[in-house]
Amino acid sequence: MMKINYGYQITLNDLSNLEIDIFICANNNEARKYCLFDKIKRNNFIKKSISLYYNNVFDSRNDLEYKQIKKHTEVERILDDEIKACKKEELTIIVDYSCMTKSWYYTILLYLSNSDNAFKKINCYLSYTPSRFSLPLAPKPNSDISPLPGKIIMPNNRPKALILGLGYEENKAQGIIDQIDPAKIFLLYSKPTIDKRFTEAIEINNANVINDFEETTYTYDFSSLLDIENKLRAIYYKYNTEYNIIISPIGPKPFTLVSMILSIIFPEIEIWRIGSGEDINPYPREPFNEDHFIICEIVYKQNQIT
Amino acid sequence: MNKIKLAVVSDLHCHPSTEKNPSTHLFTDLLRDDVNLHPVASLIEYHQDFLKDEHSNVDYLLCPGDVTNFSNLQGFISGWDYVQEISKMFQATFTYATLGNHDIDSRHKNSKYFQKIPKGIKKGYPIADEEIGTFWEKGYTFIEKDNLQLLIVNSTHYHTHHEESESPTIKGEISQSAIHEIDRYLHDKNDNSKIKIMMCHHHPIQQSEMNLGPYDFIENGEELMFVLAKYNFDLVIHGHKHYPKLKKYETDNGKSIPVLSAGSFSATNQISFTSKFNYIHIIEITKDTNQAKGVIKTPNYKYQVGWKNNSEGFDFLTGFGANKTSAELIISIQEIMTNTDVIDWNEICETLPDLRHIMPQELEEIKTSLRMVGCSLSFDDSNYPETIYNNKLLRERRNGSKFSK
Amino acid sequence: MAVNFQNSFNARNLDPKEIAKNFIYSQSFDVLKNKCHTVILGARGCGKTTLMKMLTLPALYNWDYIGAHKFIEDIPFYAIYIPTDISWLYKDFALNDTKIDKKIIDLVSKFSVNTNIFESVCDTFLNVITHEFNNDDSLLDAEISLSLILIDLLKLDFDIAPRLESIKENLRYRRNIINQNLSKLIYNNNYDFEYFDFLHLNYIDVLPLILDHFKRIFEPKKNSWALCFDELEFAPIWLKKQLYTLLRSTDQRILFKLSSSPILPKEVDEVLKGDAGASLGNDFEIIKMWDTNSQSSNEFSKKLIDSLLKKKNIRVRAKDYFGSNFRYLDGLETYTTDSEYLSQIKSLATKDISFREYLINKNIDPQNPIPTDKVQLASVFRKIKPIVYYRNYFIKDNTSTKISYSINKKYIELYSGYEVLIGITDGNPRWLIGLINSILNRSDLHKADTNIQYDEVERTSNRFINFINNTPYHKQGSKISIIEFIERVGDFFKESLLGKVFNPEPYSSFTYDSNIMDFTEIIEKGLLQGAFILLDEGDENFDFELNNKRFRLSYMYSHQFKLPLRTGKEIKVDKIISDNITVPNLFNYDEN
Repeated sequence: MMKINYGYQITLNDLSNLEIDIFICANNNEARKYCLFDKIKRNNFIKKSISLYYNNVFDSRNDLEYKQIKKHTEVERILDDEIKACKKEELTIIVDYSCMTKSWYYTILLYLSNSDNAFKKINCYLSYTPSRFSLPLAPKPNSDISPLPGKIIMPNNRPKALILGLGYEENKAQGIIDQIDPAKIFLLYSKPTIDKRFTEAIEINNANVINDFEETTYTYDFSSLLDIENKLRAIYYKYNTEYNIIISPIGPKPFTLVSMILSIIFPEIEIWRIGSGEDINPYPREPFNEDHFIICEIVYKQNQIT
Repeated sequence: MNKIKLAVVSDLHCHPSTEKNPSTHLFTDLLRDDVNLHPVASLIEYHQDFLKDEHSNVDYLLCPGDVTNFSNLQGFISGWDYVQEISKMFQATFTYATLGNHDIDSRHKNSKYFQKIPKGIKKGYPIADEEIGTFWEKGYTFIEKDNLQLLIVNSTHYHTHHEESESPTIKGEISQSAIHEIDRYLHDKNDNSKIKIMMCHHHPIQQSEMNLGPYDFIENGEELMFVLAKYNFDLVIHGHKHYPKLKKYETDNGKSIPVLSAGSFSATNQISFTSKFNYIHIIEITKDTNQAKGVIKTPNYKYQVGWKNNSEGFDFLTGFGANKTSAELIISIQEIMTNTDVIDWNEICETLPDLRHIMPQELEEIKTSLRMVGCSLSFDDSNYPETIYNNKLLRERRNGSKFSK
Repeated sequence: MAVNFQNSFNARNLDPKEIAKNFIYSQSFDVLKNKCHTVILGARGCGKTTLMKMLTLPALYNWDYIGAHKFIEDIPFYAIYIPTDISWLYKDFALNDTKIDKKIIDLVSKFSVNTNIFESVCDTFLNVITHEFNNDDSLLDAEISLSLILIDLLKLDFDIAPRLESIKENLRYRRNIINQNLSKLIYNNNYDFEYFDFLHLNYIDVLPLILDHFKRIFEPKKNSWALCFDELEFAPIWLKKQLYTLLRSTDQRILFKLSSSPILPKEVDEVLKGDAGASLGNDFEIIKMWDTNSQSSNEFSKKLIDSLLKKKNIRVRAKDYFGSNFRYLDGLETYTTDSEYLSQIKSLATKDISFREYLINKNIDPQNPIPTDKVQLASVFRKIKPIVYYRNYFIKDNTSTKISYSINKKYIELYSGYEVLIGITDGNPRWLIGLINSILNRSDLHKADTNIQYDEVERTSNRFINFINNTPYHKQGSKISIIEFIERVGDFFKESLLGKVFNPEPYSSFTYDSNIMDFTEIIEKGLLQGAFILLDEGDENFDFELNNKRFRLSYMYSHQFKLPLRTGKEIKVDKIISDNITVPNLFNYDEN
């Protein structure tokens, strides 16, 4: 098994002159889906580029291989096939998770951490293309409030501390609070963010829940993965001895990514999702800026202790 | 017998909160309304709660450098004020610092001369004027007290100028001539009854973790260590790495010196997804018949949690200077446990005082060996051993006791 | 700080000492302490967890009640509290969603439950030692002896310190080992799962031995132990089946106290109905945390309100503090011409032609509606009282072909007052405490203004409705969602009460027959969350089935659907939900 050794937030310029074994992104109707791919393919050597889709393929490109994913476990199978074919000491993989559903990129992270392989080191780059602001649509009813699949944690008798990363659709936050019934609740939302309208929408649409839990509401810098990490760690360290920590990221994906990574570093952290199944709101998601990416490099190394 | 107590506060990296990419929890403009967000305010509270009954005053406060961050002027001024505030809290008689790579303006951002700012801080920085000696001139100085011989090295002495493109975490350095002078000095003033400590910023020996680079140790550091070992130095303290570590350095002349890489007092994690906390070290050293033994307490600080006694990242309670090896101690403990079913760790330390002065690795060896002979340990809240149980003997005795079937 | 229903009173997250501080003694608690197996049923927030936790020693010893000491002496067992929660449910789903072999899943599921039980047992032992023994060296010896036995029986690592805290820590560590094993198993096809011998431990076999050893070593005051399994609706099916089977057990050392939602899954129901099934009355007692005639739940609510007022140093009587809502007072109305009620009758009769016709049919003069005799008083006047008030309040004119309604933004008179506050939360402590505390936070020491009461009733009702609406529900195909179901039922009842034709017995409850239309999941979820209240006859022969049972909406929906706090006539729910019936929107404006 491999362990996340460390990570850095990097810029697009750092993604150059690399030999990339696998590039994975998602295919849907969002405009930003290939922004990163189109940028990096020119000055990097990418051996395999895969575009994952759920029901429909929305485009047709020669430089991508399209693979359908109906269930998150199929992502494991794809990684199994691609990674086992790679006979190297060091693997480099880039994941553009901008358009991915949570279970897909969580599966990738968990897979890299838990699967046996012969690599001494895995360099995994996770990239997100922020989108322009679009008005929040009326929320769809909750059909599913449950842990993200892929990780099993045996329940124990301790009370729960819920950390909610707020999004800008109403009622999601309240839904999970009611369902989980935690002993402690922490709310985090992005401020500053790339467009202040996002923050305003979050504050308006979550006014009730922010008011109820004002004392344990914090903000984070949307563009700083380290800031997100520090905020989450602070809560974790304070409460993890007495509480089961659950993070439910229902807002921006960089927050979700950092939450997921921390749940791998601290195996007792659970990630929960709130979904409306296939009945989701379609947002156009134009890229905010063609050169603006939030990229995280994480390095996995073989775990010395078994 | 000589005895001293000292506190080590290292790598504050103080700077204003308006700086992009914050590197510290200890901003120059940080309010104290929430104590757990302020490392110094939290330390004061911790000091009142935990240390007040333990004779918490120290004789010396040592600061191995990087008071400020990238030579930030306000960071330097406020950072040194914070150090002095901590010193006052501990009622330290003397406070000594050395320069770190962040304390000098080698890129001439704020001044034309790389040592202009550190020399202008005054207020006893880095050493009181009357004791500064050859620090500025030669990059080192000696502080002589009745019970202490302290060598303070400025490993940034040669960091005069660097281009923008160069990394600031470049090597420390001490010149061969300086080492030669130190050798001569120590030859002339070789009083082994004194507790002998060397403090510097960069690590004098090579170590590499987390891809930080194994290259920023002190050039000629090994030679310096050789000289220190020759004159039976008792402890070396350095900063820079932010990762606390205590280990013995074996020199070529067959001697060993404990080296404490001090944890950072307040620097934040600049590398993601690594568990790094902040630390302060409180060290009590006794020296009898030329043998120094130390006990180190290292509370750690976590943002929003405050200072706590736990052993995350570094054992809260550790030591150095044990005469006996861990193997010898294991044999002694096993002999005691032959006819003992339950004994408190403190009690066994009275019989084997060297147990208080073992390093973290040695303690791990003892724990493992106890398990192998059918003993178990319980631990206190700081994860330090509390009680040893001889499970094997307890089972045997239980069968004949009133509690047996 | 704003009162929110999370921190208002959630027994799940309070430790027993804190529960004891706010505990209101009730008859249910008396029943629970009996030396027999007990099943306690009710919706979320109804107080089951509070009762269970109150049985534990830390709660009992911190109970500030004049009879507490005697109660502690009388209670014939030590309670071992074993919580479950929603994680249990999802852990099982998650396991079944992987490629892991079913045998391993079952093993791991049982391991998980057993480990939690053993941990709870250790906690209980520590509580007994702390509260009932003097701390001296012999106590330490005894704990060490017991711990060594536990290390053997629970197959723990031989090199752990023989102390109960170390045992607990080791049990926690085991969970981590299994978590890691499962991760490896999920992501590696060739990984062989490690079948540790502790995976096969079974509390049914091991626990009696452990308890016997405790008794031998410590000689405690009590000889019995009660395993208090809380919130079993979240437990795996195999555990539920096992526990309901164990209700037949006659081993007096171990009693079972089970708490659950009122409806059991089919598999468990089959166990109870089987030949070896435990029977109510003979093998176990039942406590229903709801009440058909609302008497005992109202009594509980009154006591709870009194305690909240006392905490705020309000010395006024609750009824005086909140004022009475005369619409809910029985026996005090007069039937003289100048009485409030008869004025209401007259007023309604002038604007509601259907009501006037009703009175005439009953030989009552609409302009002088005095009851002629006691029979008429009871069968007509008392019976239609809330209907009259509500129709008179909401109807503007019903004398022409089209009915029109008054535009009222607030219904203060209808939803304020002591009687409303007692009844509106259906005796659910969590919502009641939240509601009353919200009112008290905005009121002074002498009186709670009816405006404020109404605002908080509305806010609490909306919060409750939001809570129900947020309940995840998988809408299958063209079936309706839980929100749609409730809206159709509520609108139907509203129409029945406030529609064009006066109805002296409007519908306000429904029965369910799964053979006609399957709403099982909706009703189960609704019952668990408290959206629906089960109306049984108070019969001890409770059969846990949904079919042919009668339900009503929680009174927390009264505000939304403009209904009185009263249970009325029933109708089969399929008649409401079937596609043929369209329910008009009676109020054509945005009321919010």
